Amino acid sequence: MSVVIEKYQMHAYIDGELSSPENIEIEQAMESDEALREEIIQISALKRHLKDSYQLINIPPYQPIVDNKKPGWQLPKSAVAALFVGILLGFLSTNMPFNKAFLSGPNQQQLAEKKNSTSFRLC
Amino acid sequence: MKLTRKVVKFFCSVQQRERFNIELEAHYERLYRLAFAWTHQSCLAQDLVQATMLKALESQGGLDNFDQFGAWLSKIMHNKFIDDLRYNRRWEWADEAEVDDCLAEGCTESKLIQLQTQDALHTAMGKLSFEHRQAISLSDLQGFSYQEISEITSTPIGTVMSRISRGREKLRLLLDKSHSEQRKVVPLRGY
Repeated sequence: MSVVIEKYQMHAYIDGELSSPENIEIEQAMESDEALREEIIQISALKRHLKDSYQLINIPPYQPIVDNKKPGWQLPKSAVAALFVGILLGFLSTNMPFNKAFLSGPNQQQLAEKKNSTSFRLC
Repeated sequence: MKLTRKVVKFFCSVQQRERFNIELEAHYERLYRLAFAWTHQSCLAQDLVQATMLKALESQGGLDNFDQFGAWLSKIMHNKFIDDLRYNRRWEWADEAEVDDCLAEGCTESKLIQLQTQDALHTAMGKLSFEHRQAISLSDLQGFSYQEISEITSTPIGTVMSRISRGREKLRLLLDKSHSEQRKVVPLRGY
């Protein structure tokens, strides 16, 4: 009984991708099947022809590449830093004791003290 | 993860960088052949190789083993090519009729391509779908195993096997057709 060899098996055989029992199976089939043998020879020739053809192409000379490109995170990092500094300054300017006093304005006690000191001077 | 790679890259020793550059130069020709098979044009192949090498330099911290350098570069090139193909639409395929016209006119690039590869094979390769062409070129030009091709293209190994088989069969048919057309003899009219 002849074994049916699929196309993909033939290609895998040529590429050396089959296991030993599968290789043996194909080789045994090739001994009795001339058409299969011819098919495998043609596929093998095509593979070689393809490789040889691309070996002949004219390759431009190698030019070493220098990595001059700035890292992509530089801009976001600087933006984040600027934002952080801005928030920090804003926080400090609103939460420092002298600024608090300035922003909230003089309270009643301070006004009274001021008035007293002024009246004393007038006397 | 990205930050770790940056740090690794920063502290990468001079010796390792030198080895990286040597390996890059050693793989240049193979990479160019692959790019030429994929893009089908010399100038596009050059662009693709340059972009791949630049990307490789940027992400050299991600390379764990130099034994897999070829596969790693091919993977980068595959990703780069797919990105450009999908999003930038830089690699527009030329119409076959236009290529023929161009050949008839004798434009410099086509003449060069004609010189560089055997014309029938080059034309037949251009008629294959990208998936078939990619699988065939990775296998036959680069000599990668099916497993490696599967990893490079992020496709199952069965798909790789099928693509190689179908692609080669189609290539054979196209070459046979081309040869039979070349052999066609026009009989002379008798007076």
